[in-house]
Amino acid sequence: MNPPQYIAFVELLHEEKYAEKYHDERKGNPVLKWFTEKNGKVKGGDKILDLLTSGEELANYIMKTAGTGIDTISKCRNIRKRLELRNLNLVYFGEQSGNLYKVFKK
Amino acid sequence: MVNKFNFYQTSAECAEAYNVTAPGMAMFRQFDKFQPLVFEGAHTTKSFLDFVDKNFAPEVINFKLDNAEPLFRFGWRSLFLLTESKKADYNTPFAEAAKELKGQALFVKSGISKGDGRNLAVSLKVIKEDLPALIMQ
Repeated sequence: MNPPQYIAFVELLHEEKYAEKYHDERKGNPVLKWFTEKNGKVKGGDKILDLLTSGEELANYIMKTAGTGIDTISKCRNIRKRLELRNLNLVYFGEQSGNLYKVFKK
Repeated sequence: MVNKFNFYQTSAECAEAYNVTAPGMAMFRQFDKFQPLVFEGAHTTKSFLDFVDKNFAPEVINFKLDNAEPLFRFGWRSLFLLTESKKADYNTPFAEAAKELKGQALFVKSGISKGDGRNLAVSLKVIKEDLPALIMQ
């Protein structure tokens, strides 16, 4: 991915500093947290999710959260073939603008 | 649930073939042979997520390990009908309730003597003598 996205594994039992800052008793462990960089500072905590159990699911989550999770299909005849790659699909038809596209992208 | 989906964007000119008015959106599900299910709600995140939650599964799910994830992982209320009979009278009200409560709970049917149903029976602690059994979790 460009820019690259990094995955880090943190063992909270041994990383007290992180545990104190990020562990949420209500959510338990393990969790995923998404960190973003803004004005030169890295901040986390926007999203705490249940652990995603498959590699494909995790990749999907990263692609979506990083803002590049929407694949463009340029030719109508290719739609069916792409749909068959997965059990569940959502397709947006139209220009990449407007309220509905913003909701879809979010 | 949205992490279970692939997301695609395509041009407005492809919309008509899928009964969509552009700009528009549709869900395509393998269990429905990828027939388009057009989103007709308000253009808000809540409306969109409601649409996803209401439609990602069939009204009555025939239990398989492959589709067990939302039943046990995402905290959905699930109602299990465990039976070895597909024609018994109680199947009809179960299907009607599934239709009525679509999006509010998952309705799952399974036998327990073969295939993945055996694992489900162990998980729900149901034995043959208990059948038919209706279990909510």
